[in-house]
Amino acid sequence: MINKQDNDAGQRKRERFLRAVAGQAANELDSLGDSGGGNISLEYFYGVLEQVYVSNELLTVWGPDMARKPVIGLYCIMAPEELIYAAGAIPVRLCAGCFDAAKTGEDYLPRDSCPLVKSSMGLTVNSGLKVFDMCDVVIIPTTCDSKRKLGEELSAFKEVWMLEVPHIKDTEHSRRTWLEQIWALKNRLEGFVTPDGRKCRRITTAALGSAIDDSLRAQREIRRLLDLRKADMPPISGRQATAVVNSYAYAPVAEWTSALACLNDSLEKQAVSGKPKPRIYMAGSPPVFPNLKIPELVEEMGGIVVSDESCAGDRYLYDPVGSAERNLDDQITALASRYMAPCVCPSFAPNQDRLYVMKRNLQDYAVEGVVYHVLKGCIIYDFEVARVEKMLKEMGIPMIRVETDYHPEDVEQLRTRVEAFIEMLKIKRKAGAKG
Amino acid sequence: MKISRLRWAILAISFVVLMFGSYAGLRLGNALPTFSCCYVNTRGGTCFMLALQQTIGAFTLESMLVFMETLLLFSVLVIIIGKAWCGWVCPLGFIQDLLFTLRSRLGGGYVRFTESVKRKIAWIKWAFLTIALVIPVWVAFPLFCPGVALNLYIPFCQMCPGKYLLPLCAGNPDRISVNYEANTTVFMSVLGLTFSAVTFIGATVKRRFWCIFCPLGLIMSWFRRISFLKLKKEDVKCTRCEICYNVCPLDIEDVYKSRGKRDVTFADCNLCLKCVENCPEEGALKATFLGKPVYVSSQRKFFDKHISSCGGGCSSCGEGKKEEKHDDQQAG
Amino acid sequence: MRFTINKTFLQIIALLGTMLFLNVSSVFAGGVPAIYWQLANEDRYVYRNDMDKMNWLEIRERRELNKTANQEVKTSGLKIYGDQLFAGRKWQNGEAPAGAVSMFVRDPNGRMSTVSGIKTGENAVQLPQDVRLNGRYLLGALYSPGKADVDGDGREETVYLSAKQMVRHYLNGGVTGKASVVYFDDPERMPLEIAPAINTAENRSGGNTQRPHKDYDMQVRYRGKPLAGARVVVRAMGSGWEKQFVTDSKGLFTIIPPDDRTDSSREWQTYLFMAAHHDRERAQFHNATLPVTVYKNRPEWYSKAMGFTFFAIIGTSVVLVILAGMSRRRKRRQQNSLAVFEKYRIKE
Repeated sequence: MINKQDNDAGQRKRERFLRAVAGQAANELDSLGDSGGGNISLEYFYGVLEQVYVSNELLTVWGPDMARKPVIGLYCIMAPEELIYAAGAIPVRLCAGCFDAAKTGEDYLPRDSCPLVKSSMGLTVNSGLKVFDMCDVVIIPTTCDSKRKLGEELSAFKEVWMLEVPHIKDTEHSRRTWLEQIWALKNRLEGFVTPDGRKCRRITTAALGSAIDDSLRAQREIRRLLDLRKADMPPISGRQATAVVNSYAYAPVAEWTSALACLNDSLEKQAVSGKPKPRIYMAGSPPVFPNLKIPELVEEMGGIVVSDESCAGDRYLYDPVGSAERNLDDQITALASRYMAPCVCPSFAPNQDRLYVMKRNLQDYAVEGVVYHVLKGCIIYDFEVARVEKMLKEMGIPMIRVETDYHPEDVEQLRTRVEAFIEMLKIKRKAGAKG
Repeated sequence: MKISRLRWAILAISFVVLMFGSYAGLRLGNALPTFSCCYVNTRGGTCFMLALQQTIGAFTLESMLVFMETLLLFSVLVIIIGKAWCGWVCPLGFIQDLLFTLRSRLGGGYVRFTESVKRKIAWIKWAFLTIALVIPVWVAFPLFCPGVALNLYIPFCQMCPGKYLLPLCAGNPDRISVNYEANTTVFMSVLGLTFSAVTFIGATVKRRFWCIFCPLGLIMSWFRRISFLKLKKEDVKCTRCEICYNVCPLDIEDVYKSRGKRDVTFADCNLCLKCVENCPEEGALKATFLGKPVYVSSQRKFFDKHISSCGGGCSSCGEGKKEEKHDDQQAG
Repeated sequence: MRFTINKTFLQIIALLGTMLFLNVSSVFAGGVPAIYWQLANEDRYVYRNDMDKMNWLEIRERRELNKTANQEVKTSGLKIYGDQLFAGRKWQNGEAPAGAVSMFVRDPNGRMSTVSGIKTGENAVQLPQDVRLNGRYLLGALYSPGKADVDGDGREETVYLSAKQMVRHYLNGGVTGKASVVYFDDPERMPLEIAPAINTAENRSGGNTQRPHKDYDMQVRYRGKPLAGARVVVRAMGSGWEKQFVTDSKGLFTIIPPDDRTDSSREWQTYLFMAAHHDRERAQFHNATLPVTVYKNRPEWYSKAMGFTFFAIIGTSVVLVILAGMSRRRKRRQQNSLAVFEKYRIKE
């Protein structure tokens, strides 16, 4: 029998938790707003993040649709969102970087596991944040160890669909298996009914084609944004760009695309003044809102993040879906190809392709220094540090490896290191200009 | 102009020229690196396989000189545009593309050959080539069973789907017959009919079904390193998105899989350039003629091609909600 | 009315038959002879079906001979067909016609050339003039033995005998003529002519050989225009098979050569087409010939029905195999292989 006192205590605990989460998000949004050049067009994106984390009013983002469509939570970037849109459901990506949630998650998960996973656990267990509560089902791809076990742990609280991603993606049978997984996902989506009667509809060629078109428009706009950052004086800082992309996880795709189009238009016209800052590339584990600790640090210390390869950043929306014919078979094949073949998540082995992606970005963006961010417990990104370092040495680009988790306390120690790194880059650039 | 439209136009024109060219008095020679079948009476030129088998089938000094001459002309033609003859000119290729497009309009699945399947069936085109080269030697010197040898004149042509399908397309169904003149001709015509039927149906469910088995294509693929038209890849730009494999009619994986190679013109590739057309990365794939790029993959063109409806995503500046398009779709 | 076959009836039939026969024969056998062209060493210009009985050296020799035969200059001689008295002379079968014969050649480019200076009694022509010009050459001759009363009506008609032959020439490396036709269409030189009704755009050098059991359309032209109602007799020169035709309104008639095995020594025979026309306005009588080589048939022939059946059977089985494969693939895709976790277990 639960007595009122316990109930109240539980209630208060939840409220404290939500306040802490909202507080972290609000701080982050403030510093983002301060960093910007008073650009109105970013309001939409900040608005989405604010609604999701601070005001906890998810319905204003999605509108009345949310009440009558199933909501499907996603993790990572392997599940095709186009299928979910075509089935008449709402996809939200639940990868979130809340420190307090991570602390809560430590009660359920090992301390040494990935903080992102701990945070997800915490946010699921401590109900309150609507974006997590409203998910009727959660799709988790079996990418890294932590995600796989997270799936098992979350199944006590929510229905979990495990999307089996083959870890060796280059063989014929793995391609076939993955295609069958996507078909299985399609079948399961079509038959999905929530307990309170909201259901998904059958996925037709027209619906899927339209969803793919929406995605392609979003991808076209994001490529425009990425191109703008190649300029000598990028009109938008790396943190702001990351916030823009992070907000894709929670916003309806068509609205987000038109807001981004507006942003691109205004950025193209914008004149940027000042001295060029050292161009930094963020590699490694993804910094996800509200944990934009490392990009914030880098930019506070005088650098500018021109590109990153995080799955919640530039890599999220880069690859397009290209179907050969406009029929369901081809569209699903194209989806399966797009979501596995170009993905350079280090959960795949071998992952030599990641070096090519990095090389292309380093060349295109004229990168001067790389900050390799490794989350404590993210062993797969750590595995690849050696190869990346070797490649960077050949290219003559300095690298700094930063290992951290969501704790705000170690910012000061990192600050010194990052500052030194950026100073070194400035000196190198001056020397290069003279010599 | 979209390259796929250009290719269809050139295929159609070549079809008319090669099948009905003699009405206009066209004589394009007998060293053509494409299937312009000798059994089509109104043809504008003749397939090289005929000259190959006829000259070897006589094996006199004179005929071998003719063979050398024809081979030289053939080589020159192949070197100029490589296997683009297959992708842009061949009438049998045109028919196959038409059948496949017909199926896609009617709606129905299709099949692809994976690398392991292709490896298993690679011997068939070598078998055809051997038949086309070795049996005429027997015909020339019929040391044993001359009765059989004399009926095996132009052996590959008797088995080729072109002999049965191309005259049909030129309006002459007479070739679809079993030739009862002798046991050998019965056998050969039955084989030929079988291959034709399989090719006809196969081309409907698999892109360019015959091209995997074609011995003329095999000979032409030997010239790929020296031909002027090539497919090149810029390694660092390729994201391995697999789209080029999904659109490739010959199911070539190596274009997207290869790393460290600049020249990705493989043996099977018939230079249809669908991969370049559908590559979303700027400059990752390109077709070059004598080293100069003639067609380069373009990001803008990719998005223009694949986004079917224009509209949305521009200038309605942030205010107001854009209604979600998928909402308007009725349940299927 | 009862109709009985009795002697009288048979006699009447015999009389009618004789009259008919005489009527016809009066035109040809008993009446006007014909002249025709014959290639020297005909053997070299036909495709032999019995080569599999030779050994391989003989086969190669034979091939070489036949191939060079097509490339070399050919000789064709003009001969008489008929053994009778006509126009005050004795005509003997196989001899060369006596008197002035005008001979001409039409090359594959359409150019006409007259052959002159041939001695009487030796009416043979060598062609082609230019060995590098490939295609169908038309060899023609016109001979007028004088006037005679052909149809027995008391009036004399001028008799014109013409002969035509289609000769195929092919030299490797030569140029094919652009206007290989089958008609002279020249009323002065050859008023009456027979030719196969083929599409000369498609068929650039053939038409002078036929196979049994296939139908061939032939046309008779008089002074350049199709002649309706003309009588044509076709006779096999080896076995003596004969058939008569009358051309239709377009001047066409269809012949199906029979499978003639009476003369087993040769694999082929020459069939002589002879057309006759009595031009009453001009009081002329024309007789034209065309020799065609007909092969003895191999025991069987092409079967289109079997061909289409095969096509259909193989096609259907392939389609069934493909459908089976597709349905198997669909089944594989319908199985719900996505694992669902619920409370630490897989939900079944």
